[in-house]
Amino acid sequence: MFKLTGEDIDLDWVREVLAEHFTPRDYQEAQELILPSLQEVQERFGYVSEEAVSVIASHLDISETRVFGVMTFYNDFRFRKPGAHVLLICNGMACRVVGSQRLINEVIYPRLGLGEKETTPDGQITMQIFPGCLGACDQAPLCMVDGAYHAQMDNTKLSALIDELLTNDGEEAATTTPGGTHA
Amino acid sequence: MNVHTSSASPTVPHLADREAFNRYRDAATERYQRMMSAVERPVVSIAMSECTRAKGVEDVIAAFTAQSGARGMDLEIRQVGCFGNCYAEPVVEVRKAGWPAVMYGYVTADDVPAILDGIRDDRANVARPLGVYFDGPADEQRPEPFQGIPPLKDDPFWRLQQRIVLGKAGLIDPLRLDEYVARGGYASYAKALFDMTEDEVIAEMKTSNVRGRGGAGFQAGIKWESARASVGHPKYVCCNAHEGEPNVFKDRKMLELDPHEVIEGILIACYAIGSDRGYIYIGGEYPLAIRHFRHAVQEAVEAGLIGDNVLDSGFTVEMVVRVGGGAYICGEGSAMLYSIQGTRGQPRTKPPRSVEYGLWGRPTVVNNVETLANAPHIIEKGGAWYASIGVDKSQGTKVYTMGGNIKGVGMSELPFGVTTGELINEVHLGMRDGFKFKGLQTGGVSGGVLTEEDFDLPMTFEGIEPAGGLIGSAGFVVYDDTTSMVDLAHYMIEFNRNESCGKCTPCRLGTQALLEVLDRFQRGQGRVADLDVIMETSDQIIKLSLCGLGQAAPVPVQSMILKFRHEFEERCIDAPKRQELPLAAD
Repeated sequence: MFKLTGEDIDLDWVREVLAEHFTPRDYQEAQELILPSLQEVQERFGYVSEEAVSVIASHLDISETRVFGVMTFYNDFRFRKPGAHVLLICNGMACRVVGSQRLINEVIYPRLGLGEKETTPDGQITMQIFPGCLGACDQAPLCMVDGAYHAQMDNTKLSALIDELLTNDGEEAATTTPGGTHA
Repeated sequence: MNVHTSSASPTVPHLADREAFNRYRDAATERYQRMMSAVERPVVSIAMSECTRAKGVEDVIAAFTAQSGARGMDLEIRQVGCFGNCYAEPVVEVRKAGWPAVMYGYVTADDVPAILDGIRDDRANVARPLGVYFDGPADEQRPEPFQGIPPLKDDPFWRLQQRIVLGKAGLIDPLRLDEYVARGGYASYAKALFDMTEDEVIAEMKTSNVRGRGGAGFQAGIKWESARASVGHPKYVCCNAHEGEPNVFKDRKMLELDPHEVIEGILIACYAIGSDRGYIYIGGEYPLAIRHFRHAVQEAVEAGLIGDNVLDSGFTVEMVVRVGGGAYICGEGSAMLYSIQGTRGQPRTKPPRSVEYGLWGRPTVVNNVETLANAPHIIEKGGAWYASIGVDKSQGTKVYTMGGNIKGVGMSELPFGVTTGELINEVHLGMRDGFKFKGLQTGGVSGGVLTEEDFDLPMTFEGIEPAGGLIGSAGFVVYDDTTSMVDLAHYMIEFNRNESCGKCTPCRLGTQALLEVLDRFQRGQGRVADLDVIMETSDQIIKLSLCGLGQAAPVPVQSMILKFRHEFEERCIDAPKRQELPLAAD
C-alpha cells in the first residue's frame, strides 16, 4: 500500500471544483466522472493524494477502493508530489531508431541517475521514460517538459535542457502547465 | 495589422433552423473566399501544431507580427492546421492578390524579413520556397516572381496524394467554425438531417465500403446497420481517439487541424443509428488535440449544431469528451468502453460485439477518428464516389504517418493501391543521406516488417498481408541498416509486456516469457533452438490471447526472425557465425 501524503493539495479547492464541474446526474455519470476528477486534481497539483481520493469518492458516492483501483491502473497518475519539472523521454519506436536509447544511456542515466518516476534530491526534475509514444514521431527523438515538446534532441541539447531545468526555480513550469482544465 | 488568435475567434451565432445555417454558411463562405483571395491584404498562413511549436513556430509568428508592423504592412497573419509535410516545418503559406499561393518551408525568424520584403516587392523566390500552387504544365513559363520555384503538384510529396479527410489541412484555422463551414463543413450533417433517412445514410456508408481505419478494417456501414437494428436504448457512438501506439500520430494531427470534421462524423453516426450521445476518448498525451477538440465542441454547441432540436430538425444530441489515462490497452474497443465507464480498461471476450452490448451494456458504435472523418465526405459526394477510389476490397484513401530515418517524415493521405516503394521513396522522399534502407515496420507495433523485396506490393488491407505487413493504424517506421533487429524485437516485446493489461494469461505470461528469451539474445547468449521456442510461444500467444494486443504482440518478432534470422543467430552461443557484441544494445 502506498503511503500518500498530500499536505499541499488544497482539499477545499478540490471540493469546490468537484461541486461546480463534476456533479453527476446519476450513478452512471458518477462512474464516468471518476477518471476526469482524478485528472483534474493531478493537472492542478501534479499528483493525487489519498485525501483527495477520499474527497472524490465521497463526492461521487463511490467507494474509495473503486477510485483507488481505477487510479492505480492508469500509468499517468502519480502518487507522490513530482519535482518542479516533469521530464518525459519518449522511447517510442520512431524515437528509438533515431537514437532515444542513446540519449537515455549517455545523458539521462549519467546526469540524473534516476529511476522511473523518481525525482532529483533537490526536487527539481521528475524523470519518466515514456514507453509508448508521445505522438510526435516526425520530431524524433523527442522529450516533453511540463507538457511542451522539445524536438530533435541530441546529447548536447538534452544536456543543456537538463542544466536549465536544474537551475530554473519552477517559474517556467508555472507558465507552461495549465491549471486544471476548468480552473 | 490584423492578427487573430483563438481568443479573438468570432462569436458563433445560434442557428435556429436550416435557413439560418444556410445564411451563416453563405456569409462565412463569402468572408473566407475574400480573405483567401487576398484582395484586401496579403495572407500569411502559419502551420501550427504541437510539433511545430517544438520547432519554434511561435518565434516565427512573433517575428511576422512585429516586423510587418515595423514595415507598416497590412497583413492577415493566421494560424492554420499543419499541412502534413512535417519534415519542412515550420511551414508558411503566402497569398497575395495576383499571386498563386506560395509555400515556404524550414522557416525561422531569420527568414521573416526576406519573406516580408518579397511580399512587398513582388519577389516570391526568397528564403526556402517549397513550391507554388500552379496548375499549368511543369515546363510552362511561370510568371516572373515565381521562376525557380517548382509547382507543388509536381512535388513528390504531393504528387500521389489525394486528400479527402485531410482536405482542409492547412487551409482552415481549426479554432474557427466559420472557416470549416465556409469549406462545406456541416453541410453533410444538415443534408443527412433534412434530406435523408437514417437508413439512407447507412446505405451510403455501406456503398462506400469504408473500412475501419483503426486497425481491424471492419466495414463501418455494417457496424452502423447492426447498431441501428440492435434492440436497446439509449444507443451511443464512441470515437476512438486513443492512439498511444508507437509511430502513430494521425489521430492527433486530425484532431488538431480539423476537429469539426471529426465532430461532424460523430454527429452523422449518431443520427444514423438513433443515438443521442456521442463520446470521444482522446489520449491524455495530446494536450493541443484535446484543447482544439474541446474548443470545437464548444463552438458547435453555441451554434446549436449539438444540443436540443438541432436546426429545428427534431434531432437531439450531446457530445462528451473523455481523456485517457495513459494505458495503451484503452485503444482496444471494449477496454476503451470500460475506461469511459470508470473502471480499469481491460478488454472482454467477444461476442457480444459492442454494437449489441457496448457502453453501459447498450448498442454502441466504436469507430476510429479517421473512419468517422470520412463520413461527411461520403454523405456529401455519395458512397459510389468513395467506392471508386482505391483498389480491390480497400476503398477510399488512407492517412499514413511515417517516421524514422527518411527525409520526408510526416503525414500523407494516399488512395489505396500505392505501392510500398512509392510510399517510402516518392511520397516520403526516400532515405536520409548516408542511411541505407533496411526495413519498414508496419502497423505501429502490431504488424510485420517489410523489406526491399516487398516494394512492389500495393498498400491495401490485403495487399501487404502475404509479406506479413499490416496496414493497421498506418503508423510506419523506416529504419536503416545500423538498427539491430534483436534490439528492436526486444524493445517491441518489452513494450507489449508493459502494456499488457494482465487479464488473460497467454498475453500476461507469454510476453514476459518471450522477453526473457530475447534478453538472452540481447546479451549474446541465445541458443539457436531458442528461435523455435520464440516462434512456438508466439503462435500460442497469437491464438489464445483475448484481445488484439496479445494477438498482435508477437507478430513483429516472428516476422523479424523470418526475415533477419541471421542477426538472431549471430547472438547465439552455439551458432557457427557468432559475433562478439557489446552487452548493452545501443
